[in-house]
Amino acid sequence: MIALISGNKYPEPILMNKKYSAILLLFVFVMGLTTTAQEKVFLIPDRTSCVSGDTVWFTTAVFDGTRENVAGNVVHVQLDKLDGKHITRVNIVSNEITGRGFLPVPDSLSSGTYVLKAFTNVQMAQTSAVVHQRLLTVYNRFDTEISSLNYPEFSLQNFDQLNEIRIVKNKGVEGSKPVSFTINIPEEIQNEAEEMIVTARLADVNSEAFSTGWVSAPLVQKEAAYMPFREKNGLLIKGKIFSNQDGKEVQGAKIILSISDTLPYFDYCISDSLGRFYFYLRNAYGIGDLIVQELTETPGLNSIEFYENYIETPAFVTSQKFMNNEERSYAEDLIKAAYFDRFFKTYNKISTDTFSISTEFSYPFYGKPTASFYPEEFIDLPDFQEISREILRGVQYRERKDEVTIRLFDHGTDNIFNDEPFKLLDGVPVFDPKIFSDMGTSRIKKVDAVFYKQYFGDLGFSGVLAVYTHQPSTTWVENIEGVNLIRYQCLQPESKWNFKNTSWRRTNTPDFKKVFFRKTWTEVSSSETINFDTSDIQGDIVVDVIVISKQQNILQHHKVFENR
Amino acid sequence: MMYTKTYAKSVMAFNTKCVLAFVLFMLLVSVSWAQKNKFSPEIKLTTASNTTNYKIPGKQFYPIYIPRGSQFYDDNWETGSVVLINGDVYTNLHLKYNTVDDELIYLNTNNRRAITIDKDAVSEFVFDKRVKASQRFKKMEFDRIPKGDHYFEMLYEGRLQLVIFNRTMEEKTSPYKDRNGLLQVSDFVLRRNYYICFPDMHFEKVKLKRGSLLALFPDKKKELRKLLRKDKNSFRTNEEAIRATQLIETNFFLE
Repeated sequence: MIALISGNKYPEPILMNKKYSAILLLFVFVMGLTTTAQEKVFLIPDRTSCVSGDTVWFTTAVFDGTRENVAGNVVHVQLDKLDGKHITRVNIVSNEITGRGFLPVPDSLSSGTYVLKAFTNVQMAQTSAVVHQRLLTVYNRFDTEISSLNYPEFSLQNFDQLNEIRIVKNKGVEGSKPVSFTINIPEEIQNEAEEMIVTARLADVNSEAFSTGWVSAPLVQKEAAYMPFREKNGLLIKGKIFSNQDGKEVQGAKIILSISDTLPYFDYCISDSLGRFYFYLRNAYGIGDLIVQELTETPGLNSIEFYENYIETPAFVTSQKFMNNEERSYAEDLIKAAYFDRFFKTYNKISTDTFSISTEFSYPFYGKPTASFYPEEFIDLPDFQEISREILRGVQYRERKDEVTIRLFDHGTDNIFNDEPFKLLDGVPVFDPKIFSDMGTSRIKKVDAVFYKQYFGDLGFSGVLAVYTHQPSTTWVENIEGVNLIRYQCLQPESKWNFKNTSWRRTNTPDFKKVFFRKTWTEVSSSETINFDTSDIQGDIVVDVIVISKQQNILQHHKVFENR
Repeated sequence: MMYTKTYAKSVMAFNTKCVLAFVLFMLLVSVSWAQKNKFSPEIKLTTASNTTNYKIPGKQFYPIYIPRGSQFYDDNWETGSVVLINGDVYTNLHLKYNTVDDELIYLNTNNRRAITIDKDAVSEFVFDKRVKASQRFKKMEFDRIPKGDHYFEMLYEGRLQLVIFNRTMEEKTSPYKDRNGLLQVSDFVLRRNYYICFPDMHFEKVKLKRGSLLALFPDKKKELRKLLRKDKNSFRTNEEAIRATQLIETNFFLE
């Protein structure tokens, strides 16, 4: 190397400098690449504490260094105990960089500190993925006395501070409930802001320390990530199939997913060498009844279990924090306020039970039916045998001793199929044709028949016979061997923040809200005035300005106003 | 010698009987098995069948007998991609465009079947490696006869669209003997009809002749003729037709 350098026309130090610069540049370039590839998910909850049964509203921000992958991203938000045990989870869809959602805190949760974690499915495969955890104090609404809370040992990483922003409380009657603030935003922040979120809430003496940052934790990967796929307006449902005899994973099993609907949903997956399978359920909102089974001639040999879509982070080191008088009385006031709030306003839980799935396709997965029959348009027939004889042309239904067979006519070969058709009852695949035997014209609304060898992906069916009843239900599914009916939390339906932001109170009705105001601006002006009513709970007011910058960074201005 | 021959004959007869009996037995077994079989997915599938895309729906393709000509746009399997109406894209498929029925066929390599893809599910398809460039076919609703959704070969896409409707027609011809020695009186001929699709999705047929194009715009005939002359465009080739459509779009259809 010395010889090489000495033989050069440049002096040695210059050459060395050039070499180091090149290495440095390469290092910076490589680091830059890894940095942009690493996805970061931030969570901005509307509060740092709540009473069990409350709803925590939040905003998520997904930063991946580009803007290409963020729209339509699905973000999973989970609430965990400090020791890592999972409590609840929601899945929301981001519009652009940010997304909004809510998390109903279970009523039975005991008083203590909890952790909110947000992640995307892509992060599962990122070996050095960091989870930006937010801490939340929960007061159990049935506690009458709280003297201590479990408290984590943590080092908070603060958001970059926006010292240039000025928040001024406008003059009004001191101590009155309607209050007004003016937020002055400098021009450079206006230009830089992708979104600005302003929250005004009651200051919590026990958890105010959680409000200015997050606690970083590495994502613990117990095994290699399975399908670390970017979920866009859809959810990956993962599971495993194993043998009932020896517990071994079953490879090559055909797992089918169906959802009963007017336009039934159907999908299949072939299990891998570890028995794993997945379904990518798109545009499904709310809690849905998913029916999962193995497509087999011998049901009951194998069992199916689903992976819970949670992430793991190391447990916090905790200690018991004893509360002083002020902290204790604040907590107890909040619990009392929650009781009275329900007493006066009744409990309005946001409905998440409804389910909807939208599809762009005009026909079910079995395509346009060759024929559709409406038995109710004909005379009353007592059973399916009569219906098939009188109404269903091309459907051969035979009962011999205890055996029932159904065969369809194949228009492709002008012959009868040798095999049973693919049969559906209200969109759910059924393999025993006896299920139709007792069905008369009064029960059946419609029968769709496909008289061709029909394919859905690689799966072929010797015709399709889909029976739809007047009152579709999935209760019968539970009695069938090998069929799994699961109530699955899909994407959270879009819901508007229910912050009234202005006075909603009627005379003599007390108001015990803890978050007074929350609003998002995508166009930020130099000055914004916010008006809201404070509640009947005494306490200081926190005004939090969060700016999500175009450079994919979160900036905060946090100010506490005394409110005596 | 005689003895040997007779022996050989009897052995042959015995063997044939055995084989026939075995074949008959197998046939009976297979028929009874097929009757008892509840549901028989034929080929063992692997994880290669898995995809996060919406699965391609379709029906088994049964070719028809074509005495002369072809049922397809091209008899060879073309490598190409299919875009479903939800935006899901399948690439590297083996495709054939059935121009008799205006349907798209793909060769499913996982289950080894030729499948006619449900037209309702398809938005467009592309043949990757044609002689000059990739060829794109888009499903559009045709307001002429035959009405309904059809695949159109896209030559130009803007506010105006220049498209070709490929259709193989059975046409009467002088009698000839086909490859099976049967007398036939019809041919299957691929007709390529050019259409201009206007912004309101109204189709007008046009021939590759300047006069045919001018006839579509009677009130702008003079202006258009001038434009074509300036462009040295005789509207006789695909390239000229594309240029002419662009000219018309720029001068008459852009606000």
